[in-house]
Amino acid sequence: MQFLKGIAVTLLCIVSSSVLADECPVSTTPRALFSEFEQLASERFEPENGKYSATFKNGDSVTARFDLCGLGINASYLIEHDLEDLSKQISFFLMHAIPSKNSAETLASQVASHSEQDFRGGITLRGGNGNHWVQVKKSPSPLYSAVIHYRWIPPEH
Amino acid sequence: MKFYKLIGTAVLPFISLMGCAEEGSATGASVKAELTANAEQESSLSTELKGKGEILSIKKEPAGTIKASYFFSEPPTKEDLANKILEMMEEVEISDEFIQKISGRLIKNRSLRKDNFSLPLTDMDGTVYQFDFLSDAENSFFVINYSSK
Repeated sequence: MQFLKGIAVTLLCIVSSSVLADECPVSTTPRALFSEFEQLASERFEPENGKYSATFKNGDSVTARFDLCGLGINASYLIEHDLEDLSKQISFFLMHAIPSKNSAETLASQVASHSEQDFRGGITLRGGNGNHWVQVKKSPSPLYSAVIHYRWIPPEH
Repeated sequence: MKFYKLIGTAVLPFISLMGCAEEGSATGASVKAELTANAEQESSLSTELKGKGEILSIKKEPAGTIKASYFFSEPPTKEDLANKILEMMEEVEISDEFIQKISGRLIKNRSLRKDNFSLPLTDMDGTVYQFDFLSDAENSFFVINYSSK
């Protein structure tokens, strides 16, 4: 009898977990991307709706959105002043935005091998945890010089 | 019987994990990265984080003119756009009287239905407040720019 009870409980667990799985099989854990960065001026982290924003002492700002029903991150980094070394800034942003430390280090190190022109057109960096879209554009706002867009495209299941 | 119980006990904890086999492995990234060359440059912006990932930046130029930009990452409805324009008008200290006057008709403005628009608003003294909306749907990035003429 106890064995049957065990089976019933097991079945219940499988059914309930698969029902939950149908709604949102995976989710992305929101992170406060720049909390430990000493140039941080202020940040706002709302894990309940997957939103994050931060602004830095040099005037740059960042906004990020985490996919709470599925895997995915969208982030944009606004650069106030013109930069001499754009690739360094891209690496810095990717190091914080890419959702796995190992991938971030590998991918950020690939940035130097691409030209600024490549990034202007938009490039896809391929990593162990999916693809990472990066594009640098002239800022649509006259208050900033440029904006770096990042999007994590996870592997399909 | 004890053997089955043992197996049951061992299997149960794993079953509860089946529904969420993969989480975004997103806890790391406490990576220390060096700040880039522009670290020492001073900002001329006053930036406010508005919640929901939205950013409002205001720049007061030496000549006294004000520029502002409101950034957000989701496609706005025309109500969102009207509310954000009114919010910007308050932040850049446009007179309450004009804001009151415009608030009713702003929502009816046809420009607000477009993906990109340029909307000049003229007050009773002939001052033009310029609002421009720009969309980058591919990168999920939207901005309203303000300047006065």
